[in-house]
Amino acid sequence: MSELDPVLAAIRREADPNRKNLRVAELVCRCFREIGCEPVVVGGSAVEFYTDGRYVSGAVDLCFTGPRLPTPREREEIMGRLGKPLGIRRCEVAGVLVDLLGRIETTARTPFQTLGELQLIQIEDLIAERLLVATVPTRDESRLEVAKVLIALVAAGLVVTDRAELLPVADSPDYRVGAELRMLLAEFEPTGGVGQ
Amino acid sequence: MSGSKQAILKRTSTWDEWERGRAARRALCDRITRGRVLRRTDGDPQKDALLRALNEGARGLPFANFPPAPPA
Repeated sequence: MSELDPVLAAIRREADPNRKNLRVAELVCRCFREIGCEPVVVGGSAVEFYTDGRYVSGAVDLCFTGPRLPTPREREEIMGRLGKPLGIRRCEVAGVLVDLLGRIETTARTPFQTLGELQLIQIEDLIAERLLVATVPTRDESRLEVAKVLIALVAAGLVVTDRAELLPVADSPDYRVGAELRMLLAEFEPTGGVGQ
Repeated sequence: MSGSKQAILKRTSTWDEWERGRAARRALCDRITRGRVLRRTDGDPQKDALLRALNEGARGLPFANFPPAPPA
């Protein structure tokens, strides 16, 4: 019996899908940190964690930051210990799909949000990214709704945000979604407290 | 304490701290999504299958625009 078996069994018993995904992400991250890698939750699963499960992408998406990326062999060996590999970069762990991506892309200079042993991509970058995919190549209302939820959380102060970084990231050449962000911030902050 | 230092500290949450903020975050999200769980799998069949199973579970929250189950 592996030392991971009781942990995996506890995760399988978790009834709340959002907590279950969080626990899987934490376990996978712990295993990669043991070999000197630094995983970060990104994309749809970062949205899921910031919104406490009111958005689901169907998989835990992980990128890596820092100088050390796992080799393909390390990736396969770790994921083989944790669950069932389903493809080159995909594995099922305790009933949760995990997608292992490459090096993280982020424009924000703020620190990652940490949650227990997890690191989540910065909310400033995530909002800009979600606005980008909601508006390019064409406006997509269902994607925009996802960005709105994140912006509402920021406007309400329920997710820690660096306002001095939020708009510059959105305005940056990487995203160029500042106008959309300002419009939505105004919607959720009618007093005009858009920030710096 | 500088704003950036404060932001760094607040960005480090224990599970308990995160859990304490959960109800408020969920309530706000529910207000924006009108109680739906937003989903997006971009047609990935493995994700669709997993989410369909979740949707049919005891969670009781309807996914927005969830595709119908394929015919048996």
